[in-house]
Amino acid sequence: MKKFLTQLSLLLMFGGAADLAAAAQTEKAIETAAKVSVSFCVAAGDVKVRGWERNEVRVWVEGGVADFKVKERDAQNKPVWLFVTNVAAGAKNYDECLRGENIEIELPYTATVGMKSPNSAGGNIIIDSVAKATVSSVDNNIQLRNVTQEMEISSLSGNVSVEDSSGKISIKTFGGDVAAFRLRPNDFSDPLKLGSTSGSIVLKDVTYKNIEAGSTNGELGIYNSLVRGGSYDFNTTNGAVTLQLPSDFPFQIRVTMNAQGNFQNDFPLKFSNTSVPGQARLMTGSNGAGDTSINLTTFNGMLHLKKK
Amino acid sequence: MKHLNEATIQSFLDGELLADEASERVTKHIALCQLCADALLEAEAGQAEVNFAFAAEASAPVPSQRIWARIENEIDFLGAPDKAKVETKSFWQQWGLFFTASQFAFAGGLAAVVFASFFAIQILRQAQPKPENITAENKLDVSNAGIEEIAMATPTPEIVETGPENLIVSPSRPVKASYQPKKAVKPELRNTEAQNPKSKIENRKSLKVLPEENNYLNSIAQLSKAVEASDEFVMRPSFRVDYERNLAVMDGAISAMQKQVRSNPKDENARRILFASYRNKIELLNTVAEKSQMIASLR
Repeated sequence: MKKFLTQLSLLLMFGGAADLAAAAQTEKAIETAAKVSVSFCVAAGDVKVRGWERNEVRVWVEGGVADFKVKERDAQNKPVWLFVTNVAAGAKNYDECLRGENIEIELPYTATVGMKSPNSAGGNIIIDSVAKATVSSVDNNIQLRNVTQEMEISSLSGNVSVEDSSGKISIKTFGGDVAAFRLRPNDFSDPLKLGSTSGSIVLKDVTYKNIEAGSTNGELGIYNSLVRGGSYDFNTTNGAVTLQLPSDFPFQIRVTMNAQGNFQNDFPLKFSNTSVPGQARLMTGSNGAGDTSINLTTFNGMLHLKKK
Repeated sequence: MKHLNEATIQSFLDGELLADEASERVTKHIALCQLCADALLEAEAGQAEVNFAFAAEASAPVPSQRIWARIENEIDFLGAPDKAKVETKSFWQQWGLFFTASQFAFAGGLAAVVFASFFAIQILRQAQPKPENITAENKLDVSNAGIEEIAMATPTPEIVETGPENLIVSPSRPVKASYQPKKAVKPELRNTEAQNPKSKIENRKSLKVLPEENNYLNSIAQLSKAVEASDEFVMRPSFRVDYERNLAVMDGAISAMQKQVRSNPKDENARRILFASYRNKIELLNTVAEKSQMIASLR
């Protein structure tokens, strides 16, 4: 009986300590340069990163701890490269990765965010109003808004949504879907590259002159996202490509597909068909006298050129 | 899965697996088997090294060509100052003039020896009794050369799966461990090639990996190794199922397009789809390898 009571009291004691740790909150702030680079990795928890007007980085972790490691300072001794770490955790794996229920980081609008999420906690990542963002994740759902200069996103199985952003953009996922809305280049040569192995890709109201998008098994939907004089390359292995364009949009199109591929066209195009039965086919055609170039390539998928 | 042996890979590289079925099986196997794809790349690299090492020698004219080149140069040189005179001389007078030039004495002598040897061989060949069992298939008529030639009737190489690391050619064609000499090809095909010399070149080209493919294949081989060694966390069962399924789709597309490109290397459309499929596969492998690297770097 004594033994049982001892065990019970120990259990309650440690359980209470664990609850206390879970309830703990950490908030830290540091003054930085405006163009600071902030790097961190996340082992557990939902993450929100938001730009603000102050030249200061603030981190708040619910149910965990965090601190800053300054890697580099400018001439005014302000940090220009900063790590946000889980210094107190001392865990075996992902030693410096943040853990918590919720993780919030505020930083200057002109900051660069570098984030890694190397486990499958499956939390959500939201990044809003920063200059540059690089995210490498296993299976988080990632949402980016108002990224003004550059973003590079890589994910295994999480979905990726990008809105109201500009500059060079590269997104690739294995199993996740990609949705991109209202994106614009800063420079006419800025590329937009999107790739998914088995997920779908949807583009809407995008104004890049240079887009490459490809999927193996997923679908590609491109709606109102081509501009005059642009160069576009879309390819799938088995998936379908739907390309919706205004009826008066001038373009030149080049469709390459294997014998099993299927092409549907709503435009009154005259194709020069170099088809040989049982072999790969090439069809080239044009609508109006535009210099917009569209390349559609598929092995076994369906290509649909749709009128708006 | 049985693997290709060295001899079969070399024959494939040399375009000697002329039976459609044999080359197709090898192509399919290579598309699916990373080990054999690596072996093919290695063999190609070895061949490239040999070609590179002997490039200077191979591009240099052979001795008789060198001599003839010198002779022609000298004729031009001698003929230039008084071309009209030379043109008025008869054929035998020109040859007389040619042999009076002391610097051509050696070349002339050598040419005479070569001609004499050639005729002697022909006479000896005609004197030998011909085998009685030459079939119409084996007997080749190279009419434009005016010489009857007996082809080495090599049976179509069969791919036989014999063990864990052997996929060998038929027993009538002994396989050496490290080097497979080039042999005569199928008689029927050779007849066709004799009629149309271009077809042999086209055939050989069609069975080889395109030069543009090498970079893709190298990248795929390297990335595949990285993925194979990837973290078990990345390759957890739920992900692996999805990964293998998509990889199979890509490999199917690549294999089908490789077949089309091999049969017609000039098919730009098939090439475009093939290269797009390669790029997609590289993207997939790259994404997985990157993730594995990221996880490893954070441990």
